[in-house]
Amino acid sequence: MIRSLFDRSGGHGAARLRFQFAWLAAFALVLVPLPFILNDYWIRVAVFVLINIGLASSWNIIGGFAGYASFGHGVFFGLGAFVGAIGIVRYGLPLPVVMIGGGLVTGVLALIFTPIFKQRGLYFALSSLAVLLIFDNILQRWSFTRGLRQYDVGWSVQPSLSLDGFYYTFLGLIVVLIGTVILLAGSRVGYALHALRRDEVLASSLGIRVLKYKVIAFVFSAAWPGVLGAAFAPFISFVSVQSVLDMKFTLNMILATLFGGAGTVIGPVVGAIALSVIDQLTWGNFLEYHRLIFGALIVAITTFAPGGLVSLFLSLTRRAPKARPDAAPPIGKVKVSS
Amino acid sequence: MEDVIIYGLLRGGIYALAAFGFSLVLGVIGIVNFAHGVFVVFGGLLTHYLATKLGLPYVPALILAAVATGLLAGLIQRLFIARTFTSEPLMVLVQTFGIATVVTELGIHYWGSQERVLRVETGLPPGFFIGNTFVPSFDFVLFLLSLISAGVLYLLIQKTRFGRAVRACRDERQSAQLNGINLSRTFEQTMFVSGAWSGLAGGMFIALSPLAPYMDFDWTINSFLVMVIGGLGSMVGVLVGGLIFGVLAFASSFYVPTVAPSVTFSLLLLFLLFRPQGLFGTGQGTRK
Repeated sequence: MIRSLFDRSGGHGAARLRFQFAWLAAFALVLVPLPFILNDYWIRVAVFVLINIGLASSWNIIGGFAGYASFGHGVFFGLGAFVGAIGIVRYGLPLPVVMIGGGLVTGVLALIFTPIFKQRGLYFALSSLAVLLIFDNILQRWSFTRGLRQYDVGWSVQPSLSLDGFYYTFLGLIVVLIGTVILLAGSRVGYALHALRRDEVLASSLGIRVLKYKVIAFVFSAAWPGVLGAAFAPFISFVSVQSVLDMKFTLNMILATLFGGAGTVIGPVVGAIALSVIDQLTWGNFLEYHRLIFGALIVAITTFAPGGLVSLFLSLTRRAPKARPDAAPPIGKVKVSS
Repeated sequence: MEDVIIYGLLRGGIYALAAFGFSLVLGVIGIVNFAHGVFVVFGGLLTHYLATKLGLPYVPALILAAVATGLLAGLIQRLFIARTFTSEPLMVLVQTFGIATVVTELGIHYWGSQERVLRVETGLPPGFFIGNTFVPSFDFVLFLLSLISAGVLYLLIQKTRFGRAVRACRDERQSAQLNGINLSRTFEQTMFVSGAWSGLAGGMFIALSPLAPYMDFDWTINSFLVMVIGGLGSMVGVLVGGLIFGVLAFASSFYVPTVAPSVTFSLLLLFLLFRPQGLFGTGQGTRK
């Protein structure tokens, strides 16, 4: 039964859905009492882990489910943070409003970039990267967004919540986010994305409106980082292009998803937690070699375990029955991946 | 106006040289090499190192650095890319990104992160005039050198046995293999050529403008841009694309310096949207 959590293909109806929601609820319940146990430093770390889980799960929709690797996805998180900062500082809006605003802005923006879905694969990746770099440049130069010019100091946002408050805000957001991912994966949209990732031409010849589902996936995976970004603004309390539009956010989304296993609900969650642990360990012990170790790790994963942790788990559990003595001897090499 | 075009063209030859390898690897091996910019920067910094620390004259340093960069590229192909390039292209993208990070970090560790530029003493007269524009003779010599290197690469691909194998792998991989071409060896050689010519570009660039380890990604993007303008699978296209990109990059940083990156990236987007096959592309296989 637990295998169904890791499975890449679609679902098996209501039972599976209930099972996944039960796991999600358990996951949330375990995390609720953390602020009573941990000190402030570790709560901050936990918030970053939650944000990473959220970002990776969002990226997974377009990158994992649809198979379109967006290399500019950090732009949605950064824009969300700018919406949050400008909304709170300049217009005095409350946090929930700017969060919704952030999601709307990035969602609509993603809709505007529909034309880049004329591209595929690597060309799509580079197109989305170009979008990121263009926005990076605009936000740095536009006086409305207070890019970091000589006398501009970015946006200082007063934190409106306590640290525990932020922890529970992000925990709530992540639970809702993963809930929507589960619903999406088990819905028509999820099946359509699964089909078009495998073979886009075949999917469209079967009457699946490929472009429509790709756009749905892209808007979904852009709106959530916008919401998270808007909530991130008062948490980090200083917003500038350097602090929220850094390439590392995009990279973290991609790495966490691939590390855990792209195209599964749980993959990005596992990946984000695992990467955060590694990150903390190397950051604490080998500060100077931090990026080097991180890079080496990426190379190692992609070279030797291209399916991620989840596929590692799958291949382990799948190998177990083969050991039965009465099982038929395998003929040739059995292909494990789907 | 005239001076902007001339200075842009002088740089454009080097941009084209850097992009040849990128285009070749994408066409033959079928991967986008995010570590490509590393080769350019590595070649440049190694040229600088050989010329300043070991006191080699410029041209031997340049050639030695280019060969070393080619070996690095071949090594990366054999150890890492050869294992993954047949799986999802996304994995190779992430993998080469990781490789770029590692090499860049090692470069920062051993060479430092400061920008370096190599001053080359030549016995040449300072320069000459085209119309009202002063053309430094060293820049002009480098431009000629980049054209010559492009010509050598063209002959290598079109006229030699190695080039025939490369073109066969590009056009029809399986048939090439059936005809006794060793795929993995050809891919390693392709990567070597890609690295060597990129290293050459870096070594020439560092004699004009500063290079530093952190610039690798800019060079990857530049190479991609040049290839997109010119078109995949066409050497002439890349050369023309490089020259156009040189003029464009120089003009945008001359006229609108604050938003120069936006101008070039917007152009990249426009090309990808409306003419993904580029100016000279064959149309086939441009959307791998």
